[in-house]
Amino acid sequence: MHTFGMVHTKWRFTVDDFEALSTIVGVLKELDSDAQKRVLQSVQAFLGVTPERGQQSPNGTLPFSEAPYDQSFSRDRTVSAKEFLRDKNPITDVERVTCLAYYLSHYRDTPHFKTLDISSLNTEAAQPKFSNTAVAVDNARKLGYLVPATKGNKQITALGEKFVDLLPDREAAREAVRNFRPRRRAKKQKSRKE
Amino acid sequence: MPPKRHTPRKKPRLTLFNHKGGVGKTTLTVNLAFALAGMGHHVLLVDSDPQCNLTSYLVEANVVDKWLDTSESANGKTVWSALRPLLEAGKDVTHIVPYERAKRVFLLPGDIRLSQYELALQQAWIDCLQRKIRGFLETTALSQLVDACASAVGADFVLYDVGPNIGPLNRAILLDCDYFIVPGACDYFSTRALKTLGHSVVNWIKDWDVISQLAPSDVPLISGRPAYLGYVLQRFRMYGGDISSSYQEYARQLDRHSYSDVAAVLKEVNEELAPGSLSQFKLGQIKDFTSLANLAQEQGTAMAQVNGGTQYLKDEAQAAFRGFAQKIINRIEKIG
Repeated sequence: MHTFGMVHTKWRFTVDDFEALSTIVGVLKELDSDAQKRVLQSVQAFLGVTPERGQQSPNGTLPFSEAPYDQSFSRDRTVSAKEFLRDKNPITDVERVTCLAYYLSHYRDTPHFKTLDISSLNTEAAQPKFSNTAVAVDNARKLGYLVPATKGNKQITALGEKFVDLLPDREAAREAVRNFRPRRRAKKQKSRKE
Repeated sequence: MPPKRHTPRKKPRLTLFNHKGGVGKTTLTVNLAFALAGMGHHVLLVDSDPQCNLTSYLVEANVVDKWLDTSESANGKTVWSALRPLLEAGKDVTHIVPYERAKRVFLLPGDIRLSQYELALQQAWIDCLQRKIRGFLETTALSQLVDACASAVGADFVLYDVGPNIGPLNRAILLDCDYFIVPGACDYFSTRALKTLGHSVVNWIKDWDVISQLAPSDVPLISGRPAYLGYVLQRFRMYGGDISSSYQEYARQLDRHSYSDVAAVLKEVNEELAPGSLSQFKLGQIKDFTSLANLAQEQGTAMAQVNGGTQYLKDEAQAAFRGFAQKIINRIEKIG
C-alpha cells in the first residue's frame, strides 16, 4: 500500500487515512470554528479516542500548534506591576515610587492616589518594603515627579511620566530630567499707557 | 524548483504589518530601506500590496502604468509576471530582475493582479490542509521568488510592503517573514487594531504548524515563525520637544497594548515569538514630517534625501529613520 512520508510525526498516512482526512476537513471547513471544535470533541468521545499530546521539539517545548493558548479577546493580558517594575528596573526608592505612581495612573486608571496605594501596589509587585513610604513619596514630590492633587491625594507629573517612559535607559531618563523645563505662564507686560 | 523546507535564512526578512490602514506602512518601509542602504546594507523591497503603493511611490507613474500593461507578457516586470506561470499553467515561478531604484535599494514591483494570487491562496490553504502539493507550491511561490531575487541582488534585508488587511496574501507573507514590526498611529483605532492583529497572527502560526506537520516530505515550506520585533509610533505632532499632550495618552495606550495584545498573546504560544521585555518592544517614534513626506512621495525618495524642504527637518528625519534602523539591527542581533 502506498504511504505518504511524514516528516514531523511518527505516523505514516495511508491512502485510506488521507481520504478520510480530506473528507473530514472538507466537511468541517463549512462550519464555524466553535462548531468544528464541538464536532471534533464529539467524534473523539464517540470513538473513545484520547488525543495524543504531540511530540516534543528538540528544545523540549511543545509544537506551536499544541501550545496552550487562550483565544479569548476579553482576557486581560496587561503587564503586571511586578513585570512592569522588573522591566523598568528602578534603583532608588524615589524611582520605585515614581514607577508605581505611573503604573497606578496608566494601568489602573488611578491618576490620584494616596501613599497607602503606593505601599499596597509595592507589596503586590513583590518589592522590598520601603523604609519609609511617606518620605520616599515626599522626596519624589521634591524632585518634581509627583505633585499634590485634591483631598490629600498625589498625582504623577509630566516629568515623572517622561522619566518612567525612558527607563530602563537611565542615562536617557536622567538627561530628560536635566533638560526638562516646566511651562511657565508668561508674565503680563504692564501697558505703557498706565 | 528545488524543494525548500524549514531552512534557516541568514538574511532577515521583515514586514511592517498592521491591518489598520493609514498608519504609514509604505512611507516607513521606504524610509527604513533607504536608512539601511545608507548604513551600507543591500535592501530588497517587495511590493506585495495589490494597490501597488510602494511601486507608485518609488517609480514614475508612466513607468508603473507600462509595467502593469505588460505584466502578463513574457517579459513582464512585476511580481505577478513571475507568479503567473505557476498559478495559471502549473509551471515554475519565473525569475524577474528587481528594479534598482537607488544605490543598494532594489524593488520587486507590485501588481493589481496580485488580488488574483490572493484568491488562489484562499484555496491553496485548504489544499495544504489536504496535503495537495499544488497548495504548498502556491503558498510558497512568493517566498521562492523573493529567495531568488534576494540572492541575485545580494540583499541583506528583505522588506515586504503589505496591504492593510488580514487576508490570505498577508497571511502567506507574514508566515514567510522572520520578523514583523507593527507601525501604529496615535489614535483610538490603532490601539484597538492591536488586539485582533495579535490573535490573527497566532492563529496563522498555529494553523501553519499543523500544515507543516502534516506536509509531505518533498514540498516547499515557509518558516511560519515570524517573531514580533516591536512597534513604532507614528502620526503625532511635537510640542516643546515632546509628543504634544493630545497624542500622549494614545502613545501610552499603544505602548501598553502592544505588549498586552500582541507580545503577550504570542508569548503564550512560544516565548521565541515575542522575545524581550516590555520596554524592548518600542522600536522608535517617528513624528509627522508633513510637508517633507509629501515631497518625498512626489520625488520617490526618502525624506532625508528630498530636493527642497527645510534642512533641519531633513536632518531630523535622517536621525529618526537611522535610529529606527539601528534599533532593528540591534534587536535582530540580540535575538538571532
